[in-house]
Amino acid sequence: MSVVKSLFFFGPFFFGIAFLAPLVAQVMLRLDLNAPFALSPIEFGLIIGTVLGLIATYRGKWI
Amino acid sequence: MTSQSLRAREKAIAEKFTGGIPWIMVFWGIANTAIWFVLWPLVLTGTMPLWLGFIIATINITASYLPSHDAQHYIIAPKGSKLEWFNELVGHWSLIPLTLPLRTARITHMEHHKHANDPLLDPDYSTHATGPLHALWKTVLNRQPRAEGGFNRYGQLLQQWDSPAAMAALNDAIISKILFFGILAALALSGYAIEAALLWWLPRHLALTYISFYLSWAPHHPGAEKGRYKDTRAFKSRIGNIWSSGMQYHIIHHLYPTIPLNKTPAAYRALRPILLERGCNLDNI
Repeated sequence: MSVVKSLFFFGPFFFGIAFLAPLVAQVMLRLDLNAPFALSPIEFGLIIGTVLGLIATYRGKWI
Repeated sequence: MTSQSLRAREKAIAEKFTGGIPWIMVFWGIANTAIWFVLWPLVLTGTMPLWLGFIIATINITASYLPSHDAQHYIIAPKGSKLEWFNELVGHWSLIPLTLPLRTARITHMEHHKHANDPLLDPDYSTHATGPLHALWKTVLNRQPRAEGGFNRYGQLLQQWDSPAAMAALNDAIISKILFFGILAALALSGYAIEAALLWWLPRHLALTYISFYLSWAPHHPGAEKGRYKDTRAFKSRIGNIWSSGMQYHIIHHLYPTIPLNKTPAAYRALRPILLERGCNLDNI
């Protein structure tokens, strides 16, 4: 059970990198948007997903 | 009339609305999930536009709970009957889009019936709110990763109960959650993040908001009293009975949980004089 609890505790982080990051990248490609600082869409998505996921993991809430 | 004879009359009327297989709920449950599954190839192959898939998926996932709810109460086929397997099949199948396992839904829902409006014992108490906007906000708060309400509350209670049934329900919930996020991630990493978001992730959030509001908060509001005739109510929904999932007559469900959803309006009309005598909150409907 402790493994499961740890997994769920870090759930927002995993969600950020495994779902939000590709989602952001694919939305940018679909809408033909450019990422800042010459980043590729997936690099930009990973930054957004990781940061949001870490914040949500730390705070225990997305909003 | 004494309380006992009133109860006997009430029971005699209610029994007219029980029994038989509610085929409309069976068809609803089976067809609804089948349509949701069909959306995936239709959208992924470009046969159906994503925006249309999103709308249909939202309706599907929102409508996925109620057929299972009849199955939770063994209304489709009684426990121990030859067709119990069919009851369970409809219950499991209809909940797939919502990723809420039947055993988890059933055990927590039965406790809700036993302890409706009890802050400590009612698994759905976290949906209580002061008004509609607060109720909508609570649904959002209850879905945060370390929220104390919502499905997290189910998890806490299942661990507290610590019975074999509770542990089985908890295991189902854990597996279901891991599968849900695992499939979402697999789809996203395969290049289908937008489709996964708009056919499952976002529609599920919208569905849970609706379900929490209309199936939990509205029929129990203000939720301050406990007891057979006081822990829920009849209410006039602004969007009508069908669009509020039949919840105007939720009081009938709490009094007689084996009456199928589609028969609760007629049962309500038949039982209304008795409910008035009992002092139930009927909101003038």
